[in-house]
Amino acid sequence: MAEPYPAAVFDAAMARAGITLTEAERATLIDVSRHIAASTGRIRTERAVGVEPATLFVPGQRA
Amino acid sequence: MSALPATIADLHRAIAAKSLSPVELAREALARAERLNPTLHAFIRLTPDIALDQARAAEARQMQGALHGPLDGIPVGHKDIFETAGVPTTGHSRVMEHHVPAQDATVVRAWAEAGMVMVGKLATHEFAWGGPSFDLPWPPARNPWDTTRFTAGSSTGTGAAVAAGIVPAGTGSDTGGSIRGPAGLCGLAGIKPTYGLCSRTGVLPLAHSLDTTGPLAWTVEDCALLLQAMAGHDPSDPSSANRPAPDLLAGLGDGVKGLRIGIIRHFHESDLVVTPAVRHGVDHLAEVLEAEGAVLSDVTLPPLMDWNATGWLILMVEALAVHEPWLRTRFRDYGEILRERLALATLVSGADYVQAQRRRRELCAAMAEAMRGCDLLLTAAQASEAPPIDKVSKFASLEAPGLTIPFNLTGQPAMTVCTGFGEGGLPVGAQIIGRPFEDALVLRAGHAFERATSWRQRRPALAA
Repeated sequence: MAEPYPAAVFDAAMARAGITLTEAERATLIDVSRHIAASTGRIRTERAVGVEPATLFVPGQRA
Repeated sequence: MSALPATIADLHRAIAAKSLSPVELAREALARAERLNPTLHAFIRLTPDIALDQARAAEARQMQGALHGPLDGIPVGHKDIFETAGVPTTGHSRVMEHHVPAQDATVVRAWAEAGMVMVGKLATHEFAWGGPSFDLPWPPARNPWDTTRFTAGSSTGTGAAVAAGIVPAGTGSDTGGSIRGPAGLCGLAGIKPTYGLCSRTGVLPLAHSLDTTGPLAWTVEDCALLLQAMAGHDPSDPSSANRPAPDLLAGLGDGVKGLRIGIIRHFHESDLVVTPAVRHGVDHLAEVLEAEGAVLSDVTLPPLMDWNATGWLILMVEALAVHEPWLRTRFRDYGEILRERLALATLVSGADYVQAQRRRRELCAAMAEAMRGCDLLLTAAQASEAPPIDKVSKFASLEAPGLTIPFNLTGQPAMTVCTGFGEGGLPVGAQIIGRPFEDALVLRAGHAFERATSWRQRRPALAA
């Protein structure tokens, strides 16, 4: 399992969003942030530099 | 003699034969809601005046022999993210507790024009994402098969109300499984249609590139009747597919002979290990369809964890964009679960989001390739029988992969059918998945399964 986000990174994200957490909430969410870190790692596969995102999402369209 | 619980198809036959009064049916639905809601919390608001007005209009058409069709006079509930003119639409949240829309959502209007009778507004996870929550203005809905159990979400009230036989149908939305999850845990049929088939105009958004609207009902046949009335192009919804609505009913009874059906075993047997009853349900569905003439094979896709990571990152960021203005001013008005999920979403960067959309395109290509050799796919709809409602983790969707979100990423139609019962007599379900805009074929296979089995004969004891 991935490491949680560093506290400084976590605090900066909350500050940018204008969110004030209690200490208990902050501790819980920093711990759970390991799942976000794992997910952001998993989506970064080896791919050609020009691979397009599905920004125009049309069901059934072929890549 | 009571008319409920019953299917839409049966109720319509009685209404068309003038042996059942739509007004009496509406009164019975309202009375059942009054009796069961203190236990189930399926409805957050009843609308008796609207229901009786609409029922009287249906009855007038009945007497004139001018019914609008198979849905005329049928009671229904709407998930409380579907806007209803003059009736509060809250998202089950303190944040929108006093929001009274001026207009109906497009699909609410479509069902009303088909003659459906709105009995009330149904509970949901907060804004279709945060739940089950005990700190909102209304309690969470409970599962009619065992009221200590979870309904799954987010179409919680729809699952509970239909399973309890209060109404034979209701609206749901599905962004990561919010129709198919409650259909599974509550023992119903529920279809997430192809992305773009049904309008989302007037439905509070969760994640724009994943959101769909669709029906939950007791049977697949009822889902087909309901979906037929809500499908079609809506110019006011930018995601709405500009193509004619398909005929979902003409071939419903044609069976599955010769259809090629792929089973995504690794999703529910190794990527996520489901309970024995859930796994048996998938096998049972496959065996029945094979006996009906389908040809089975196994299909391998990228790991379920890849679909889950991609889907949830996209969902979180798109939901954050919807709620961003309120985070600064109303943060403490959200329930704890949604508040904390939105806070976590702020950790996902813009680059993360684009990488997730690039991964999505790759996953869509893998799915399209897999479906070149298959007309339909099967996998489980849930990890287990319904868990205790007070034991559901706040971060369950991050801790273990979900079986439903892959088909939100690809936009293809996916339906849950009840495949039996497991631990504690609780229902289990499996998914039937089709190619984009082949919703009719998904319904056809689900209907073939229900016709060949007897699972639709068993109702929760509470529904008697």
